[in-house]
Amino acid sequence: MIFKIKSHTGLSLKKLSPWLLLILIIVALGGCHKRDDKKVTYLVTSDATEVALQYRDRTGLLQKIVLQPAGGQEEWRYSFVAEQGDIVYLSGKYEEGLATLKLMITVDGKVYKQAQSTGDTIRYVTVSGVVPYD
Amino acid sequence: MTRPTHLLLLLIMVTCFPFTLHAQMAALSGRVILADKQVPAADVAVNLAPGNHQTTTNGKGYFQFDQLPAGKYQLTAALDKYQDLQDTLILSADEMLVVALELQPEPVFLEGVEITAASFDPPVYLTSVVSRETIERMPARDVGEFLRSQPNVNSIRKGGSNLDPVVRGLKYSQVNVQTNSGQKIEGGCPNRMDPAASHIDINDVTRIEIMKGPYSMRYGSNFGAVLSLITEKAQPYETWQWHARAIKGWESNPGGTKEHVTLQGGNQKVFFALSANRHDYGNYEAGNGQEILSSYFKYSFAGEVGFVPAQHHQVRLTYRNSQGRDVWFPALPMDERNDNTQLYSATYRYRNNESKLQTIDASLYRSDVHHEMDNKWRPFSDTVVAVSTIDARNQGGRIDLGTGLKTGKLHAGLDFENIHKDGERVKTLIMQPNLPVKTEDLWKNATISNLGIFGEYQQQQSSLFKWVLSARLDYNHAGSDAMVLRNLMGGEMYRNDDTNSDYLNVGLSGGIAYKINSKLSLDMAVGRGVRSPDMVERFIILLPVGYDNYDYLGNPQLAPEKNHQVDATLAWSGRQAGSFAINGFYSYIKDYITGVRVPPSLMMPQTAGVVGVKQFQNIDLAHMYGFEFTWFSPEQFPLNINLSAAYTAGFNPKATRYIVANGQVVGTEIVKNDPLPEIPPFETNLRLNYPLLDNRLVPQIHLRWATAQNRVSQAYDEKASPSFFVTNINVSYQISELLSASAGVSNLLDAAYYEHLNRRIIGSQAALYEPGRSFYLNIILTL
Repeated sequence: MIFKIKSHTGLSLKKLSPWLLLILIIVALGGCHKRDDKKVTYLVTSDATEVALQYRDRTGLLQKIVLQPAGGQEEWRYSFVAEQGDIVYLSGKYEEGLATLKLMITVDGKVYKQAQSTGDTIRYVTVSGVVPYD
Repeated sequence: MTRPTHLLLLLIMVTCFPFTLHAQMAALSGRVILADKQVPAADVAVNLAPGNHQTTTNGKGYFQFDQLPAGKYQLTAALDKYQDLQDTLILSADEMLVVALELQPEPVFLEGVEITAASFDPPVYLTSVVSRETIERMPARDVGEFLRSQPNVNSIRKGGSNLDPVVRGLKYSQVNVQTNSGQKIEGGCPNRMDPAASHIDINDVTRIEIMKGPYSMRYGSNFGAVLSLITEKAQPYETWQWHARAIKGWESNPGGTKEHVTLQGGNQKVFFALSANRHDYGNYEAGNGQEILSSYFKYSFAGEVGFVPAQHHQVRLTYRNSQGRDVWFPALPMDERNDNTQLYSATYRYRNNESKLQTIDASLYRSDVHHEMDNKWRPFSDTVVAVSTIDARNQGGRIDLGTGLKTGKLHAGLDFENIHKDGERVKTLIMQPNLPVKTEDLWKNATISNLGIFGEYQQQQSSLFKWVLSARLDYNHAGSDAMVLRNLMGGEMYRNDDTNSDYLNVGLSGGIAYKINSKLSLDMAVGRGVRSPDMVERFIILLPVGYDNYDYLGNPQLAPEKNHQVDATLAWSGRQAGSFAINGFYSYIKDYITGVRVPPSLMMPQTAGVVGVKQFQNIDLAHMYGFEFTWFSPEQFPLNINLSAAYTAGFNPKATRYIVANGQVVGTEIVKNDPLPEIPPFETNLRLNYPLLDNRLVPQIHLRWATAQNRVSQAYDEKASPSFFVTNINVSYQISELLSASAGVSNLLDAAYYEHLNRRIIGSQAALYEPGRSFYLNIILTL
């Protein structure tokens, strides 16, 4: 019976350490693949007396708070560091017919999503998405 | 040696050494190769006893003995610094026997070396083998993509990588994909974004064996094709030593790099292999300038240790880890975010030709796939962010016992496979107040177990005639928790408690190989292969996993598919004309599994944009047929030419077409002889290479032409695809004993084309185009 036999020949390691070093360098040239962290900021501006606000926090939990601008223009901010692909969510509702609510999400200082309503007491104003990969 | 290699060698030998057989006399010829360098061995002393016949090989490694009396001979081949090779041959009157010999370097520890011809014996069955050298010469990034270079083997593209192999129109679980002759992998994604082959790095593969037809019964259930990916193995050495191999590749389209490094070493008793791979590729540009979002990042590492506890015995333990990150699939509703695949195996091998029980191959394995995918890169993630997490496990083992009889060989054994899948999809409705989250089960502890016993007997009836018979019996059990789909309020929209099934499947095959004369040979095989339904076909709950635009529902009570197939191969060679081989096959598939529409009154789809629900059902039968043709130019021609062509067709004698208008099914009609979907068109390949500098410099041109595919399934609303023509050029250069390089241009003419099997861009009818022109360079260092 005649087998096809696979085997290897080669040089000893002692003579080849420079070559092995070269191999390691070649492989190291590849580097790593990583997802970037991004700074996310939620921004709320409203002149309503009271705004029911919901937002997804840095841990992924839904938080519910009530803002009370007390009839004047007030700005609310919440910032955290998120990984690309994380869900960002900000939603608000108010009761006064003449009030305005503006929501904005920025990623690394650039506007990612924003929405605004005036006099709409029925619907929630919501801005949401995922932290973009680019 | 595999059957095609034998055949090719036979043809070459006949053309290189013309001689005439005299009545009642025999002849022997052959070629000797240096196994370590894979080059012809010149000046090898070849002796034949009795009679003290002596000769030496010529510059191309060939030798020949004429005018030999019929009888039993002892063949010896000897070359300085290589092991003597001995074998016993029986020459019949009027026979010209051709042998292929490989000399091993001296010294070598024979007990530990890998006997590569053992995996797919007997060669009667149609087997083709792809070598590492062939793989390295091409800009191969992916196993499925590389396999397209083989006749009648194609793959389904859904993104930049992870192409799903298709053999003679058979796909998905109709193809038995395994690594190292036994280990199987269950992908996580229901849409097969991670088919089994995608979990093995192409640069770790040292050999691919493609076995067509339901004939081999020794490697698990075989419905119609087996793809075996043989990876880098640890090898024993006589004295302690280390070796290394590295590949660095650059490519322009998609822009990216790949790296591969292997370290091997050991001695006679203990030996090891370590390897690592990395692929980082961006999007590619099609020939029409369209950017295809297809970037991906993958890396893997593996370790294997082997030891020889006693003479004739060898044990290997292997661990492999494969990772994928941010892999885009523009033709699927989701992309791969993370994939963490771990493969474990332990193999035991016994070889002793002197004992009654000559071979034992035993292995245990486990494959764990943790797969995460989401739609975060898709437009509809503006309203719903869906994240799926799936854990798929495939574990099993096999034992194969082989014994040599007088002129035959018997193998018998058993194998076991257990697949378990569990996973869920979490949908976050990000435009809704209170940020509602809906969790759906994709799989609910779904399990498939298969226990098989097999036997195979092959007989060398004479030097001209060989036959083989194979059989296997499988007991297949499947089960799952109740298949339940709930709405947002928790109410049940679908429930199926009848999820258990048990089947007993019988596979049978037989084949002959007959040398009609010195130039002509005929191989024939007939077989029945059975496969039990897979996880998707049994347990999927309303996901758009098919080619067409429907949600699919699994059917736990599906019957197994049965493939009855016949293959015939005729090979001929002539000194001036080269060697030809043509194969034809016909397949008669009973209980063919396909999708049948479920009325909306019974089931509503859950995916936006689909037109309805289909459930997997058995239909009575389907037919498939086709052929493969190859031609190799004569050995003595300085220009090597290889021409191949392949064609497959299939049809369903009575299919149902659903007429869709305005996104809804509005009627049905019966279509007679409807072509089966996802069958590649006729394709032909022409490869020319002209070796220079004593084979060290080999320029090659590869022309590939595929016809339009107009035989499309109406039942699946399949779209026709146009023909295409692609030109690839390559130059490989052995710079030194340690260093070689391969460079070239794929799709030289920047053709804008797509394969018929490519899926459409999700949410549209737009074709997923192949990459346009791409420059590449691979540097290979071997120490």
